Amino acid sequence: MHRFLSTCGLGLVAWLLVTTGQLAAQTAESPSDLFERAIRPLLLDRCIECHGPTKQEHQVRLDRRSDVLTGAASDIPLVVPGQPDKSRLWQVLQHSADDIRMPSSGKLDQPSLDAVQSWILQGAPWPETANLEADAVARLQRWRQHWAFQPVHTPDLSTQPPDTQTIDWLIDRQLQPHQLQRSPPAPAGVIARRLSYAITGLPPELTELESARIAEHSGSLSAWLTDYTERLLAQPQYGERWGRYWLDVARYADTKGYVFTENREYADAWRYREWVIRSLNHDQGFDQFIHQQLAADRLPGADDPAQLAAMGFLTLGRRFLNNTHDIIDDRIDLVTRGLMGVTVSCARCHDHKYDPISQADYYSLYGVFASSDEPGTEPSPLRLIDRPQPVEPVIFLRGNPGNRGPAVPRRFPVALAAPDAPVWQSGSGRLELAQAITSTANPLTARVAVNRVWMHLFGRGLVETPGDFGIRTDKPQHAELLDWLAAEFMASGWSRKALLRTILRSETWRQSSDRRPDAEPVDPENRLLARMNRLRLDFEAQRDSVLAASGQLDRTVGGPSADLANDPAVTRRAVYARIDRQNLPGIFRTFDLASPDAHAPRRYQTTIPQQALFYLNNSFVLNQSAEIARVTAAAGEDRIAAVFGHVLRRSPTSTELADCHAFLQTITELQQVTGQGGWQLGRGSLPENALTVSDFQTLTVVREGRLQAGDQLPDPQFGWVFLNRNGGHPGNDLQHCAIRRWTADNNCRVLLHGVITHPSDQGDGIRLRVLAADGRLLAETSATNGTQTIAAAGIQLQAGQFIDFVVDCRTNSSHDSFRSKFVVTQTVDGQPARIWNSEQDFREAPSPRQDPWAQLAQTLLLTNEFSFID
Amino acid sequence: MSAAVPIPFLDPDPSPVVVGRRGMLARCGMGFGGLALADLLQQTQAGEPLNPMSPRQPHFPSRVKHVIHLFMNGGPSHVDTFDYKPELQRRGGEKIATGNLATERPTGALYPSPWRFRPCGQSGLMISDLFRKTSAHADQLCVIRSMHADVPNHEPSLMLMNCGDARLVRPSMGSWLTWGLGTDNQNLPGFVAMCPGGYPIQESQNWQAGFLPGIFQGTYVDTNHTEVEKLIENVRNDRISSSEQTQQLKLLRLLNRQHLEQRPGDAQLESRIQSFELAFRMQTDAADAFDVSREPKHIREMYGEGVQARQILIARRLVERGVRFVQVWHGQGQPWDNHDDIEVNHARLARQCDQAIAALLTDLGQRGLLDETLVIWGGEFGRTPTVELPTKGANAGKINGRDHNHWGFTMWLAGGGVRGGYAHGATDEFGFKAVEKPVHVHDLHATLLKLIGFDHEQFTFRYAGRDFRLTDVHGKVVEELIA
Repeated sequence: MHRFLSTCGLGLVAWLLVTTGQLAAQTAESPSDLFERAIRPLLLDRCIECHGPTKQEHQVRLDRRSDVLTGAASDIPLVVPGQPDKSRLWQVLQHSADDIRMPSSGKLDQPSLDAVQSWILQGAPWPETANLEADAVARLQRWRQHWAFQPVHTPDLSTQPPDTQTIDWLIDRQLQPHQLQRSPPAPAGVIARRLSYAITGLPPELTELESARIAEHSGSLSAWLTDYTERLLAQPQYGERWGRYWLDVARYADTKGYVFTENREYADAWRYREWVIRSLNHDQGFDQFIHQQLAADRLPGADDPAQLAAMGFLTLGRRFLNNTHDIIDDRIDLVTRGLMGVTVSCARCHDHKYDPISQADYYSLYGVFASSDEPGTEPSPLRLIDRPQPVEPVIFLRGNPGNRGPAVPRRFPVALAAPDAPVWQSGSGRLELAQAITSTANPLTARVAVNRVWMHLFGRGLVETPGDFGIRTDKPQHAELLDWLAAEFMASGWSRKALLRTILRSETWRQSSDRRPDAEPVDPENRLLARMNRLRLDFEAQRDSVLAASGQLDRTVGGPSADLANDPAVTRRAVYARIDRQNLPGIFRTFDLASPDAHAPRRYQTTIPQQALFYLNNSFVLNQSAEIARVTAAAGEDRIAAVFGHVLRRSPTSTELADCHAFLQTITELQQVTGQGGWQLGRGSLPENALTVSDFQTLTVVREGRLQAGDQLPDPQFGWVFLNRNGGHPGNDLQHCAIRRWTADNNCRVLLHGVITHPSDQGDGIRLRVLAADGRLLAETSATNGTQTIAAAGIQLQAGQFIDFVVDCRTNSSHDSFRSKFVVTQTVDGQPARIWNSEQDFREAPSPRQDPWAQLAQTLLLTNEFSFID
Repeated sequence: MSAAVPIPFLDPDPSPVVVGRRGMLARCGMGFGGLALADLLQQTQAGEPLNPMSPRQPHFPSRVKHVIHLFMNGGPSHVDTFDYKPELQRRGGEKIATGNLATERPTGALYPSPWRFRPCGQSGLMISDLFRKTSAHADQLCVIRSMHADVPNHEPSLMLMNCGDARLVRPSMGSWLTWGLGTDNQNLPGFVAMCPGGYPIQESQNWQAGFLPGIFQGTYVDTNHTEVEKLIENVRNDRISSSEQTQQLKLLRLLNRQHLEQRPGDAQLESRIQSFELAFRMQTDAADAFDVSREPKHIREMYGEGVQARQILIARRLVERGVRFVQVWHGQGQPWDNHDDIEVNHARLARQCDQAIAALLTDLGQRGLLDETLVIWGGEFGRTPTVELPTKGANAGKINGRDHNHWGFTMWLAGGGVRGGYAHGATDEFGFKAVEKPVHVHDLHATLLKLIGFDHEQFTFRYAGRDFRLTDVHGKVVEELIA
């Protein structure tokens, strides 16, 4: 018999003992509530299997109101409302020696009997909406047969050929019915790249790729890959990569979320991350890993702050304005969904709609966390400790703490517990909870853990909903494989490195990811794994790889968080990113980072233009591209190959070489003509009736957002002339006009318009003249104590030609501050219009141009080849 | 409206490599309106490279394509704006029995509105002089006078109004809609939240994506800024000219094409290639969309001066360009929260936005956009008809303001499919509590979803073992609000 069959039945009875026993003592509950809470589950669990829609033993049927009250099926009314003693149902429940005894599996306990008695006394209310028939069939069948609640079952391996690995053999067995075979192995370099990313999240060293190819040619690839795997597993970068995966599970963040004006920082959050990384690098057993995260305070070493930091798993959640119930709910969800793939927090307000999780189960766990205090800062602010007097939890009816229902013991969810599982006695029960989670009899924890590892290695879990192994999750295609991995995992002492080794050496993982047109008709999603999936680098791997390409990656292991979302100069690995839970930086949302608000079973994977914008324009990418250009500068003739080596870890093809040469030449030419493209802010001379500016000099001294000629204002020589973002001030005469010069970076046609304001109500105002470089006067206006606009269209310019926006003081230079804004709409054939805006484009200092080699390096960073793993 | 036509020079030879339906979808990127929502979500959940922002159809046809939510954060007083209470005016200074209607702080006697109300339009809706200009549109307004929420505190009420749950992390209405409908312009974010000067309280949680993919979160814009790079992240860089970047993308295309030729028909590779073309266009389009100086003078003058005028005009420019959901917050913190000096402060706040709101309705109407744009006006709750009494450390104790009131308040809708010139429900004789046809925030959400084309009970997202809805287990569509 399946284990679940026994535990489920017993479990639910045990649950009934608790709830109905209390219900009898309750006065406030309405009759229909009594039915819903006590009678319906009782009928479902103890009666309907034999007296329901599928079977009606002795013509008794208990799933329909009419049959129960009027006896339609059996001609005997089973219940006489208000009169228990005259109700046949009540009589058989007594287990009298001279009568039929029901349920035949054993007499109901006293609280359940009390509940039935109350129900009949109250007139046996039975809401018309109660469709027990459908409920009964569906629920019982599904619960009892659901694959994930069955014990982990090691498949029969007796027919496995000795030269075949178990993973491959089990995969082959699924492929064979479809006349499919696995793909051939990927090339050595591809496998090496996969290994490096899979284990460390970083690209392989060029030298490693070289020796992989040599090994392939000499027939020793297999041994080389084994050795490479070991070397990678020994690197601390392994713990960083897999640590970040775990931080998704743990909904890690460095802040508490919205807590009014309270300090939001979890100043020691990083110590938890540190502990996770160390645990992985030391290959701590996954069972111990869980024990420490839930109950480090109760284990040897409980005075060690580094060990206590493990409990950051529980304590680093959102604070929900310090609402205790919500904080506990978050922890229950984390522990049940994150570690076992069951959704217990659904049962906060009512029994789980689908899974065998009752509200009593929820409040049993509630009691555990309510019995755990956060004592303050020493020896670790992340720790919990057991209260001297544990909380004896009660069910909060409909989740409302003000509406207290029956008491429940602190214990494991009944349907998941061993049949003889005791209620918890030791302190809060957290340690017992941890032990129950990692019990080898618990079929969920190991399955959930190995599924998650598989997901990271193959891009998709064997079970596609890594946080929900409940009723609504179908048995996976590769259920035997999942069980074999889970069994191996437990047998290895829950070694995460051993699990990785097992999967990474399989031919299934090492096969080619090339499309398989022959398999697609029967398996379009590649669930059968006739090929490897092509994987996209996640945010962390991509960012780390950019730094690895430039050689700037800071390989320091551990330490406090770094604000890499806002500081492009951060060169630490992305695992060390400071995560602000309340206002998650845009870049993290753009790149699908796990939400830190709750356990994240998997990351979404989206492709949106904002991701491309980051790689086109963010100064982190520009800086690292420039660094790649710098470090390859000495390569001379081979510089393109050197850039390829840094970024793509390979040599360019001849076509690529030609394309890159052409690109570099084009950029160099563009920069020669358009080096001055865009705005320049300066001063110069434009006498009356003159059509070209003479003596144009850029303004270079920055003071309080102004660009001016010298340190002083007014300048002894040049007077009041300055420009700022929104306007400026002309000098004292026509030799000292304030000039914005816009230079075309391409042959183009432009449309321009502008607005200029003389805000003062004194003085004679200012004049604006707009001139093209070839001496055309495009516009002229004077603004005196008010606003004027200008516009001009259809202006053809060659690359390098400019337009001057010249402001002078007219005859009187006092009260001549002005506000101005000029917009140039530039159209180059075949391109969308580009808008140049004198306000938005204002810079205090001209930005350095990105040199052609840096632009080449950046372009390689943008490629699909860089972002995907074959 | 711009569409994602391949940029010719970036796509010299767009020979499609179509691999069945999925590849085809990824290539189209947009415009496959007929595809069922469920199909699409299944695809995105399977981690396939479908553009998650591609426009799609709701459950049933609807004219409403966009939403502009004018959020008067802090809680505007309904009895001073859209809920005329003659008894309040008559019985000012009188103590009334408020029974169990607890608010945040103690309040005292009835405090009549300092503003005059007038019947407006054909419908004769009573609107106070605070919104004199908006009142010219009375016949387009669907005023809900019987709104109610759960608690008299800002944080939970903001969460309830925006996300349908007062405490737990749930997706905001704009995230739900962007997830459900995608957006019509791939060169702009689908959901924009504008607030000048910083965040409202509860900050970016007001437009959070919750358990939906993070890309459906509102893109926050501080409209005190005018420089586009402060408005949209990474929208440009200073070191590479546009013509150079064009060359970069040309080379990128060559390199990616060679890569793709070895890996034919991989839709995720193709869709990432396309994302760079979209990004290139976004740089121009985003700058354009937020630049109100590109509007003709008469339009700018119609909206008026100041940041409210600018951001409400930006809202119109955004929906005109296909943005799905635009939320316009009045300002950082909780500006409408006038516990003291309500006469001065409400006058100032209304003066800042009244003209622009009226202009928005006029402008949308003139452009034929009002039919397809649902405009929502309101706060997270209203204010008491009684005067707030001094509370140590909480207010200035001037006895000339109003406390929070979630028992009854007013919101109005206009445009897209709503019944104009109509007042729904009523508060009691003083305006304290919704008594006739009360509309809970969940009911409002259900109705808004209906207007946009969704059955709120079917519009669900599977997360942590449950099918979640904006309306959780609540909400009833108020059919009377729908034209």
